[in-house]
Amino acid sequence: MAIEHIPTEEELLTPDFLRKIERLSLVAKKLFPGQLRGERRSTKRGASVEFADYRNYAIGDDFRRIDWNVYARLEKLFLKLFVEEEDLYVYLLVDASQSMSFGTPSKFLYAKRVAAALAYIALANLDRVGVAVLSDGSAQTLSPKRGKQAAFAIFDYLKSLRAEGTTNLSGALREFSIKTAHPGMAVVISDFFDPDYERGIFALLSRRFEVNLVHILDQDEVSPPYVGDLLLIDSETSDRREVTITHSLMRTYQKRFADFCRQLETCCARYGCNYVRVTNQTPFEDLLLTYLRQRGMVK
Amino acid sequence: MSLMSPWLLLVFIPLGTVIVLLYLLKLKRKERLVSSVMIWRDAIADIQANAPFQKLKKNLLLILQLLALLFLVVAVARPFVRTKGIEENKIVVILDSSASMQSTDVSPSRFERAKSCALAIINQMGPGDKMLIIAASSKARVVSSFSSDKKALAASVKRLRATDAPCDMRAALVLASSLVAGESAKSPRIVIVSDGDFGDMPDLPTKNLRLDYLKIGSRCDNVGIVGLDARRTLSGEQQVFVGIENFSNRQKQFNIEVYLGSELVYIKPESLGPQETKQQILGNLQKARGRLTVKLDVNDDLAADNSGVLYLAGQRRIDVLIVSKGNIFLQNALSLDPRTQLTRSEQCPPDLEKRGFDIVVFDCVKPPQTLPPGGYLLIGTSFNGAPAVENATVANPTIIDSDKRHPVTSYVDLSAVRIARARLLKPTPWAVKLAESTSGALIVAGEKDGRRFVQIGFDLLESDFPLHVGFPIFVANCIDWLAPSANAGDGLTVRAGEPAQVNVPASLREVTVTDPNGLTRKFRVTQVPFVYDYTDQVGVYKVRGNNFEQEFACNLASSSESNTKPRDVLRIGRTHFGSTARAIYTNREFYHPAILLALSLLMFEWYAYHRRL
Repeated sequence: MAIEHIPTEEELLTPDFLRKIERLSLVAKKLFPGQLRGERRSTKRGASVEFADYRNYAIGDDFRRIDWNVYARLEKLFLKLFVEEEDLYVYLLVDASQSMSFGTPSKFLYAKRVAAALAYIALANLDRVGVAVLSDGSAQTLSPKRGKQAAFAIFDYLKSLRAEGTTNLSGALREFSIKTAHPGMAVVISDFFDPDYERGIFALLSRRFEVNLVHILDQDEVSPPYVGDLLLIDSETSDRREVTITHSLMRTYQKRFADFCRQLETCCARYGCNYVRVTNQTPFEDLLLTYLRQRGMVK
Repeated sequence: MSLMSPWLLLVFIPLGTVIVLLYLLKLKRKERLVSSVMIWRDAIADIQANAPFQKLKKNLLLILQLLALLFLVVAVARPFVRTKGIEENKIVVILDSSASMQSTDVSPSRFERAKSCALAIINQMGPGDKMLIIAASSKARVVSSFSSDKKALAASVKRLRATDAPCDMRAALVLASSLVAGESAKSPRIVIVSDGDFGDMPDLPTKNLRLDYLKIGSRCDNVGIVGLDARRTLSGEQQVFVGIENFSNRQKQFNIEVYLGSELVYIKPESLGPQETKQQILGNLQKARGRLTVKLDVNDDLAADNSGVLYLAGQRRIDVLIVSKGNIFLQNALSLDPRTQLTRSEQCPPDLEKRGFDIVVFDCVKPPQTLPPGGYLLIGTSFNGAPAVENATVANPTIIDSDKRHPVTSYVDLSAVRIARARLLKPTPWAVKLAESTSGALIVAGEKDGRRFVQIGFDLLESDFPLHVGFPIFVANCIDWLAPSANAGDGLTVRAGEPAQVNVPASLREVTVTDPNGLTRKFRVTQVPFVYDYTDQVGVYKVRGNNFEQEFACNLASSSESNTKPRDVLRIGRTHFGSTARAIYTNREFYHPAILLALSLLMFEWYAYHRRL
């Protein structure tokens, strides 16, 4: 039985794992105009081998693109248009609020590894990868990079991140959507402990981003192992709640937690977003090679 | 529901306060840092919104603790309900079977009603209960020892018969107390089923006495003979004294009938007002002798006291021998009784036994060592078989005390008697002192082996006693006491319940006694006189033996028994016990359920605490 090699925070992804995911690629349902030639179908018409459309010849057009067969039949000049293949902007939006630091391994480490893996997959497919760190209602962005050699710069950037500050997911996503000039695929990796997350998602969608959500949870959040009389302190807001853990309260908590996850899932379904929920105990390989594939985020 | 110790409920206040104070102390909660309280906040809000008794639930543990404490305190205060029936491990039922219980004011009689009450108590017994039944009349008798066999107990109650004897409830209570002493930690319950026609018992200890009094009887409609006596005058005429009392609240008219044997010799109409007593002296009986029956022809509730029997003694000669150097005072005093036949001698005749004197007086003459059965008056002399030993001689002793209850010294005033010289008498164990001086006894009396003695420690001639009015009375008393057979007539009379002493011949080994109901019992004679103890029926008893036959009569003659008014309250010791209708009520304690409830609440509280309900 193979034992999964658990990378350290310094490593994020092992070379073996990188080799495994090298052949994957991110799936974008929408067409986005790219900047440079790549392997993604663009909204632009270009010089690929894939036929896109015809249009009337206009003065100055390249003669080489005139479909002479059509001219022979119709005695009219039509230009043959082909689909342009360009690179895709992939934005990895990582929640770096204090709440992400919980769990063993921490949700934030798990998020960084997901981001690193997706970045590597995108870079390997000649896509342009940008990383945004969502914290305190703002989004600090690492400008989009292209080429496999940029992967290590992204990895280093991810390693340098720390989970601190408060969650204001909607504010950070709105800011990101406003700041970003080139819409593309946005992968939001967060625990979504923000009651207003829907407004943030809507802000991305309104800027024509293709939104994917990776919902990372700590196993202790799914089923808290608490007993007795406790004073629960919110890691971000220091909000305090006195609770006496009873069966009734645990049942209610789990119901509320399921409601919270279902609402997020419903929101994604409504806006056509991909949604994957994992806990920090989910094997990372399974997430990349199974869950994301099943959800159609990678192929 | 009531509480045995309601004041203990006050304990709840301080203990409850302590619990509330402890509860109010701020609970030290364990701090726990969580990623977000967002879900928790919603869950808590949900719980608070959806639980209608949330406030109550919040304080559930406190409420449970206070409830458990309340039940514990209630249990300590010993709650009880008063229920019909008994709930005792041991119960003693004292059934009054005295004469008054034969009253027919309740149908069929008080005693039958008392028996049915006792049977009802037996029926109410639980499976583990035990009952002891005592029948109380002149003697207390255990009818059934502690038993839980209801059938056996009921059978022994049904076998009981009422007697004509007075009730000695004191003996019954003492017997009950002694039988149950040490039986259990809790003093057993004693139930008296009676009409209460017995005296108060103010000196009986009532500590730990748990007594119920079931009053039987409703009214008093009775006229009875409360006193009956006969006396022969010095002229030889019989006088019969009859005391009659009307205990009812209405006028009673009836006849007094006197029968001599079976012949009606006297009848007199009589009328008695409510609560009126009348003493009758029935004369005109001349020198009658034999059985005399006095009957009241009256319709009342109690028949046992409507008749009385007496035996009139005949005019019998009393042979008296005076062995004296000469004492004219004594001689004259003895001669006053017409029954006496005096014989005077200076020395004791050697054939004393053969001569058969009823009384022999030794006046300063030493008696022989052996004396035949009879009566002896020893004056200033003594011998080995005397009731007292002569001690030192004292001069001018003053008599300071005399026994007024003894037949010999009753009605005799000895206080003014002056004596020149006397020998102090030291009585033997079987003798009693009749007169005492400051130094010791001067007159003693005693009875042993069929011989009755009166011993005087001084010579009559060395005192002025013969000159006192009391002297002839003293001598007459001596004659009556020393020669009882002359006075007894053909039979004796006893009060119901008291033992009868029948003088049977010493040679008789066996006698049969037939009681007024015709029941004949056979007895071995172990001593003379023969003592018969089953005198619980009024009427004539016949004692028969080999060539021997004698009767004795048993009369009720008890004012307390004839007064059949049922008493509502018994006074025993310093406690008054009221009657409890016709049923026994028990204070049924139920502290066990309260303790169980408290423990259950504590267990639930423990469960609630650990399961965080």
